[in-house]
Amino acid sequence: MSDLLIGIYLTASALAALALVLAFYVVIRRIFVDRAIARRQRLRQKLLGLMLESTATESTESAEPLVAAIRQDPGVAASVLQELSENLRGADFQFLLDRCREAELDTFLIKALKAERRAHRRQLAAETLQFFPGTAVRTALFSALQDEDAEVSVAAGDSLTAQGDIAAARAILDRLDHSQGGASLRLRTIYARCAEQHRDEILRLVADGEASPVMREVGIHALAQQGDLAAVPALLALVDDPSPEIRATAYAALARLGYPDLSGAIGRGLEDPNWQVRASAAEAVGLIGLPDLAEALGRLLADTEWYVRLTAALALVELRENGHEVLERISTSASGSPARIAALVIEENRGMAVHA
Amino acid sequence: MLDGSAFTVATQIAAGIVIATGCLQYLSYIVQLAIAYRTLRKQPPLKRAGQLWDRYADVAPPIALLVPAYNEEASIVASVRALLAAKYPHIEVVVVNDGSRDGTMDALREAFDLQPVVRAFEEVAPHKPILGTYASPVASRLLVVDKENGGKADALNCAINLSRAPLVCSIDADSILDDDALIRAVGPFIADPMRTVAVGGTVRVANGCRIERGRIVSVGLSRRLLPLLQTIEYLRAFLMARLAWSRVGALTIISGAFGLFQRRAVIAVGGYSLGTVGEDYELIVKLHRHFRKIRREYVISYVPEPVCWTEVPEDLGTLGRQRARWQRGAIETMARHWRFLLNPRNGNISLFGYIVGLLIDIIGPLAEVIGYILIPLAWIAGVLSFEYALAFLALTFFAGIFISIGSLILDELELRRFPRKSDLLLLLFIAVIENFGYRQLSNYWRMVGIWQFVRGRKDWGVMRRRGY
Repeated sequence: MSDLLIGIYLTASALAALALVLAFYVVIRRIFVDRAIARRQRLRQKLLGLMLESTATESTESAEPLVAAIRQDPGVAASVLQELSENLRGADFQFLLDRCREAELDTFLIKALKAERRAHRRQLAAETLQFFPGTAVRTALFSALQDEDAEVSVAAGDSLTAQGDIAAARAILDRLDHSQGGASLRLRTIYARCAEQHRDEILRLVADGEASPVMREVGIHALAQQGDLAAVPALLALVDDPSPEIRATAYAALARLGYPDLSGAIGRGLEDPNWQVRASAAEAVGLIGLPDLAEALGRLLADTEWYVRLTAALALVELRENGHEVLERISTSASGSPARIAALVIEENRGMAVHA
Repeated sequence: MLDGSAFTVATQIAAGIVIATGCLQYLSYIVQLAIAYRTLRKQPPLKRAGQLWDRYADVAPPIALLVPAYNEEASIVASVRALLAAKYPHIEVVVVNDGSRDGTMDALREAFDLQPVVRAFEEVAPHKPILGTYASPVASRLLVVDKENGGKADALNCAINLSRAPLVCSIDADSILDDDALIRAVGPFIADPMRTVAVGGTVRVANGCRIERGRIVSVGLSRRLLPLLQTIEYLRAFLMARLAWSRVGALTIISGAFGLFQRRAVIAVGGYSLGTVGEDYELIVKLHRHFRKIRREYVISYVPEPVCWTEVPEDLGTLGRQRARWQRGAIETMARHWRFLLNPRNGNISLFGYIVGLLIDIIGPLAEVIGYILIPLAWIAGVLSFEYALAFLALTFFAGIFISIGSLILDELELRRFPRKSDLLLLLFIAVIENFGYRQLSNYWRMVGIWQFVRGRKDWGVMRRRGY
């Protein structure tokens, strides 16, 4: 038998053996996983019951079974705690946290945050640690800001700000790596918290042309979310930013703030060379309600970009009488695309009024 | 092993090509399996949909569900009702009756008390004329469009034009979305809104599941052989191939049965291409081309957890026609965009999306069919010994079994969609037997698809369904 033939047979046999082993592994694993899941579910139910019971009595002695149950599987305890955090507040929740500390859940979570191989478990640890303020926790969360997984680092930042560590806002923002643009929803939460007490930090960030566009955008959203009109001058400065994405986001933020004295800036946006900015400015006209820009919006019905045309037409509807006048005039006097879209929007609006 | 005649030399060369192709094909499968395994282990899906609601409910962007319907009288009302009840904060359902010849439109009109309305839109993606648009006083999130028949791509373009949501989700009228499918699929758009342009979910086989009022009540396996074989195929195609290619930024297909897209991006590339049967594949390639051309960072990804259930063919004729059509669609797209796809500057898209795609979808099956003919012939002619013939066949079959079991393991490790142990055992058995007969049949259908492409065939063929 030649070497080649032996090689082929060996490879085939190895693959067959591997397939067989994998098949066995899947079946055996399923049996064990089913048992583990059933055990975790039982423990989960038990923990939920004990936690709720202990918060009702608030007796340290009767909470001993709870402490033992938390020690039994701290991972399950952490996820149950997360779940309860959505419904329990004040003294009840604090009592629960004290029992968790007694069971050294925080120590377990710090270890998990540092050493756990799987990212989702580190993330759970980072999220749960927000309930355990303290020096050791703060140090662990700060280190986790540089975790290789974006979700974990952002969860750590989220927990730090949730603990009221707003003074560390600058450090948190600096240490988070946003180059991948991920996890922006949690970033929004962090920035919104920072914007409450450290607006200057966010203003500095959004004005920094060197910063990542994702970070700047999230910062702008956070400022708008605060509804603080003091942010208007900073946002107005951003409508002249070189980045069209930032200009468009700034117009969206101004619209959200609803500051009425913006006709000049938004009028400039309607003539921006970038279509996304024009669309964003057009939407802002409708949302804020700036009737003096109705004519400018009407001109956008002949824009080269369909999205701008449609957004402008819908914004005109929002302007009510002033907008309707412009739409009626364009639908009867103009031709081609502007007349068509104006007529359709009028018809659609009429239909909606009838249905209403 | 071989003598020195011309036939022998020719056989040796052909055998060499067949063996090399087979080795490359299986090597690429093993690489896919390894990448998919690593990806799933690193970031497993969130188990509880409740967590997703906590995270996303306030910021989830509106989604328009685009439902092209052609002769769907039997199931359209149940499907639309299920879609309207989808658990997602803001949806609109745009059903396009694509010139059905049955009572699809009447069924919709009656069930939802449809009233004619006007909807302002720009025809930025081409489609056949609209006959009417209708809204429902009993389902405010529903818009029904009645139009002339133009095919699936045409109907989807029409729905894209008329929808208003920033995200659009194409789904087949006979598909069923998991309750949490949308909230799971929208994750990448929320996490990375500036770059994400398309997200694909997993399509699974609905045959054998218990379905009530257009919803999956319990997951199960069909008792028929063909759907079972397709269950393994779907696992391989989605959990292995798409997850792996998505991880390396080379995903070139999102299933037409369930895909979520940024509406502006789809319109920027002119919507779905008309006159092709592989419109879903073509759209993704067009998106890659567009964003690379304008030099904008973008992400097209696959998320394994959002699931759309679809009814797969249960008879050989329908399955054969479907597979031949898929093959035709793939070749059409590869042929249409070969310059872009072969350009080495496109990195992983070129290497994995095209070259490996070409190897797996076209050259591999072709080589395998040639191999099946060549090996017995060579053995009969006495140029290949029985030991070698047996060794090659053993290698091919065991490699196939290994890959199939590997993709089943991917599902079992993190997703565990088959709740019963007996289902798992049955699928392991199917993973073995699919290599004897079904795999060869699939390759034959692929050859038919290649032949249809060469002949310039453009139609979809008749698809027979049992219905839910």
